[in-house]
This record gives sequence, structure tokens and C-alpha cells, in this order.
Amino acid sequence: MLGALIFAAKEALYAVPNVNLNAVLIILATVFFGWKALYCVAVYVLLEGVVNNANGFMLWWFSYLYVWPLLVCIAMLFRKNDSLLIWAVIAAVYGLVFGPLMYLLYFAVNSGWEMFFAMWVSGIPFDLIHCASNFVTVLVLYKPLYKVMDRLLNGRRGAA
Amino acid sequence: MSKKTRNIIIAVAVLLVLVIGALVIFNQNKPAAQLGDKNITVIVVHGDESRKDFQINTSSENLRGALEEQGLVEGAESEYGLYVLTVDGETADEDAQQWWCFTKGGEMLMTGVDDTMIADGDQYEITLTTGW
Repeated sequence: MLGALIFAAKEALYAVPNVNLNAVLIILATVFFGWKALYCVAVYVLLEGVVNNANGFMLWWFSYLYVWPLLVCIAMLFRKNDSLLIWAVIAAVYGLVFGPLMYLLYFAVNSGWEMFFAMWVSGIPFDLIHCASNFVTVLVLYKPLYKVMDRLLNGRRGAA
Repeated sequence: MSKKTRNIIIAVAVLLVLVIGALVIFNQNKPAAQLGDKNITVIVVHGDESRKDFQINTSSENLRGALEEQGLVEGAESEYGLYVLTVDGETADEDAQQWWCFTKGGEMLMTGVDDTMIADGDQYEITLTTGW
């Protein structure tokens, strides 16, 4: 469900480049479910593959196979963190390095360091937007979404 | 100062260093624009392998501007600029995995048309290509 929500939110914000709720939702999934958040990521990446790669899987989709699980791994390291600002900084840094992480695959398929560096430099303005948008979305949405998820999960446990 | 406050300060400082570093790297390595009139050559190779040469005189700084002034390209806006779909009236059939390949002097362009700064005397090739 969360994987589908991540995908739906990204599609809803498609018109605004590099602004999405992926980071805050994946971080929340990791906080609540731990390593099981990888299932949410798997669903999200699968949906991206099926819906946005209808004419054949593009190279960027293969980058998604490691980029989003990596965020889960990073969030697991900080899972006990209860500071909103630190989560916002983590999401912001991830937004900043998202571009070069994606381009690593292009380097790996023999495009060379020159191509990787050129792609990275030309993408820096978009990475900065991604950084800022992740910072703001976590600051604004983390706590309200945390409360909703807490209520949903605890309410379900209480009913059981 | 509590440990939590110290960690927050360190985290924010790291973020600021990374952001400033990214800005510095971008400013030092971004493609430089050449001002004034420029003459460039654009060779379009269509799907039937026919070739058309265009001599373009432009004051545009980037390739996109030069091509759009001539009505040579159309496409969709993406987060990386214009994704070119149509060149010289021929539209790439994405269902058949067709796409327009941009090269400069035979070498693949490393940037999109928005970020490719042109200079006087440049030659670009735009070739309809099949297969991702």
C-alpha cells in the first residue's frame, strides 16, 4: 500500500521536477517497519517499471533498483533518531547525491568518468532543488504523517 | 550543549558544506556561453537515411535556442530540459524504440539541448536512431 502511495504521490507531483514525497515516505516506512520497508520500495520501483517503462526498461529504472533501497539502509542507521531536523538533513543530503547515484550506472555501462562528470555537473541545479524539496517536505510532513501511521498501526494492534 | 543539539549542528553544517561544494563545482564547470552571432551547421539524418544540412546563423547561446529559431525541433519538457521528439518534421516513434541522437562532430553530446552551449563553427548531427 505504501509503495503504491509513494508512486501515486510522485505521479501527482510529476509537473514539478525533482519535488516528490519519496524520501519522507520511505523514511517513515523504515521508522515503522524497519527492513520491511524494502517491500514498499520494491512495489514502488515495480510500479515505475510497469507504468513508466511501457516501451522497454530505461537505464534510469535499473538505477532505481539500488538508489531507493539505499535510502532504506541509511534510514535504518538512524532509525532511533527522534530529531525532525536530522531527518530533514538526511533527506536533503540524499536529494543532493541522488543525481550522481543515478548516474553511477551510466558510468558502469562503459560511459566513462567524463560522461558521468558532465551529467553530474549539468544536473546539479536539479539536485539542489531535490535537496531543498526533501528538506522542506520532511520538515512539514514528517510529524503529521508519523501521527497518522502511528494511529493506524496502534489502532489496528489495539483492535487485535 | 546537549548531545542532540550538537548532532543537529553537525548535521546542518555537513549539509551546508555539501550544498556550497555543489554550487562551487557547478560554477567552475558549467559550460560557458558564447555571446554574439554564431554560424553553426546542423546535419539531420532521417529514418530513411536521407540527410539534410542546415546552415544556421544565430545569437542563441544554446543548441535548443538555435534549433527552435529555425523551427527544426519539437518535443516535451522534462526535468532535464527539452526532450526532442520531432526533428525537421519527422517524429520519433517511441513504440518502435526510436529516438533522436545528438552528436557534435561525431561525438555523443554529454548534455541536453538546453545545456549545450554553441560556438561559432560548431557542427552538430541529429540522427534518428532505433533501439534503446
